[in-house]
Amino acid sequence: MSHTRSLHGRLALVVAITLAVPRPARAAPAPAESGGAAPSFFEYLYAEPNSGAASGGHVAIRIGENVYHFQQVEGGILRLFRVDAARFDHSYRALGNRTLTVTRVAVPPGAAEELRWAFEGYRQRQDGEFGTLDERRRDLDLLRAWRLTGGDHGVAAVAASGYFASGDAPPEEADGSEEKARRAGLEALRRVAARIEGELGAGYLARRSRELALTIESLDEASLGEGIARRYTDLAAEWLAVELLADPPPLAAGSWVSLDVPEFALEARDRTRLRELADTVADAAVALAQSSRPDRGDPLLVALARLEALERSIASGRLVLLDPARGDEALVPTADVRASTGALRRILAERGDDFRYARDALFAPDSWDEGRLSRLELAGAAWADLAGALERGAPLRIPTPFQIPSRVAPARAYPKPALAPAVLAGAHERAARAEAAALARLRERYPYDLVTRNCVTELFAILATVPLEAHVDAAGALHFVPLAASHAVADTYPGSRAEVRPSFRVRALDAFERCDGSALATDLREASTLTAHSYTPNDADPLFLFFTDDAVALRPLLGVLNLAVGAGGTVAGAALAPWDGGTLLRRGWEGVIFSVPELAFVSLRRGTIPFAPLGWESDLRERCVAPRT
Amino acid sequence: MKYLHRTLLAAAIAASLGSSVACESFSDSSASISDIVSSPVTSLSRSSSPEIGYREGVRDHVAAQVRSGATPSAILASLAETAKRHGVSDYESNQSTYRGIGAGLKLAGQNQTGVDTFAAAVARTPEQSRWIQRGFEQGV
Repeated sequence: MSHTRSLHGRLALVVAITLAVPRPARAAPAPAESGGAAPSFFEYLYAEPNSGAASGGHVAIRIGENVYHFQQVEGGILRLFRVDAARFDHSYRALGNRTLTVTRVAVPPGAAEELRWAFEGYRQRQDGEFGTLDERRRDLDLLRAWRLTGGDHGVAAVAASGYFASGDAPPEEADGSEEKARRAGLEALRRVAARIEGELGAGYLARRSRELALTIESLDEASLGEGIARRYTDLAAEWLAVELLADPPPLAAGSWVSLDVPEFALEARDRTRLRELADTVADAAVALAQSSRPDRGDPLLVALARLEALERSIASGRLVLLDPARGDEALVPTADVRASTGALRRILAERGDDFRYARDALFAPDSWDEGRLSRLELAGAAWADLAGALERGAPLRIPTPFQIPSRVAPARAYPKPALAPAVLAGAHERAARAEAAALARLRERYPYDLVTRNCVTELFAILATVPLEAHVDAAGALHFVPLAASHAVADTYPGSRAEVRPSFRVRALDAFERCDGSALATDLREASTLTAHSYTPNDADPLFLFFTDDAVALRPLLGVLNLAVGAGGTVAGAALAPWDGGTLLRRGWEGVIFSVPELAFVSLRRGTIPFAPLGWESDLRERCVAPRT
Repeated sequence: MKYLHRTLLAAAIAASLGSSVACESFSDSSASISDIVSSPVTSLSRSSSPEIGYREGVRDHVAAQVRSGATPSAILASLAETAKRHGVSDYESNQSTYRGIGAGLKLAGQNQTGVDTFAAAVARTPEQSRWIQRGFEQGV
């Protein structure tokens, strides 16, 4: 119910403000960037409203290749995010189906870097404070688990622990060549173990394992303060790495990727390159065992798993890449995959390109960098997942956000602390208070307020810290509204140039009109969600029948029809709720709510696009009739 | 002035509502899925090499930490998360880490004495010191 009230409120305000703010004048195109010196400007980005989380529009600042924008997190804290400019454009224009108005503002020479740092410095400071909250939450999670299990939690979220087969796992079935590859991986780990013992003394691994186990078992009440989760997982990760070195297991089944495509085949020169990389990774593993980093266990586990994968690759003649995912990723609903096969096939082609690009970078004959292998692992997993879903109907995992191998073992027996229930209860309660205090500090420092502190006003506040020729008055009338603020930027910087970058639907209609040869035929077909080629109804969107964004005169009439469809969906959804989890009910009700503004000539809803390739604009230009998305 | 009545109307409505209108909440789940399936992290980063992106990340992190008064050893230890975000787990042996540190010291306004002090605290080899100096002089 609170969601519905919030939706009502937001819509009422958006309608009022949309009426209050004049439509933007037709924008002149921004001048093309000249080559050579880095451009000295920033761009103010205004994204028009759409249903969902963006009914009021959104704003951002682009500086160089990065876009900075504030979003609400934790139910009322404003957090500054940085995203790649191309990703922002794709996310808002293609997937969000929202036209961007971009106002480019020239800044004095040298001010661009100052401007960048104003935003980046803010983000760095704020990220550090959110990092504290994350750490308190990790403490809380661990102590809660210990309290519930009396310390016998059995599962620690040690990253990269999931690449190694546990003793309980059935042996992997392997033919002769696979067995040879597996043995090559194990031999490489044994050589690393021998080198470590050669440098640190015979019996080092067994001694270190006992030391680490004892340290964990000796954790007492005093050690259960802030940072206990980090300390415990550091110890557990190193303990596991030492144990694995003492008795190396093969890579766990399903923890690696190797596709039967030419790009995974290795020629002789490729194997030579991988031999160099394997030797470098082995050297790194030996060095990490002696590092003073308290968190050396994590990178050591990654290095050991990679070493096995590289040796398997060399021995088998095919690339074997670690799957970077944790292993508990959510799946994209099968119905969503089936409904978007055309778009996903184009995305699959892009994933193949990503993989080939990353492969070329890794095999380039210059210096080794770990980031290149990480990128190839990510590209391989993303490609394999999507290919499996489209070609074999396999479940499609949501690609991992982790940049390095992070597969977590579902269960391993780690050393455990011996702590009394009362001690754990006290520590848990203290951790809960620390977490609440960290959250309260963030709420106090970065509060959201509809008018005085929102994602618009805070961008202006940061801009005001940089000496520019003028500044937008963040407290000005309606300057807290994204659209009004966009006008204020243009007014404040008279030399600025604005450019409208059309949404997916606008671009699609332009393309279809050219192909159809008849604007009327295109308009008629694309007016309804039942016949449009530019849109496929999806569960994320409200229920509606007609687009009203380009039908000003007919908007109230179409709004009535949309209202009726929404109302019908609401009634039907109430009856079907036990079977569809309330999806139709929500879509119907939101359909009603977003139809009301249309009665007053205000169009907010444009529909969203579930999946779109990065090259969606060139796709549309090249196709006469695009497959339904 | 010509929009005064509309402004007042909107302001009155805004004041009467406590809801969000001008700010998105952090991506809802469906939007996140669409984003990450359509353009996973590997797909948009061809404009610069992973090394450059990592050095820039280290540069900015170090500059922010130096300005906040953190010690060199604390700054080095705090690089783990930045490194992970750029696909680097073993940041201690990575040349780009030290190039980024040098560039970060420059961005934070440190002088040569500051660079020498920092290098003495975190570099374990002469080569690492040279990489820091190179980052300080040449940027990322």
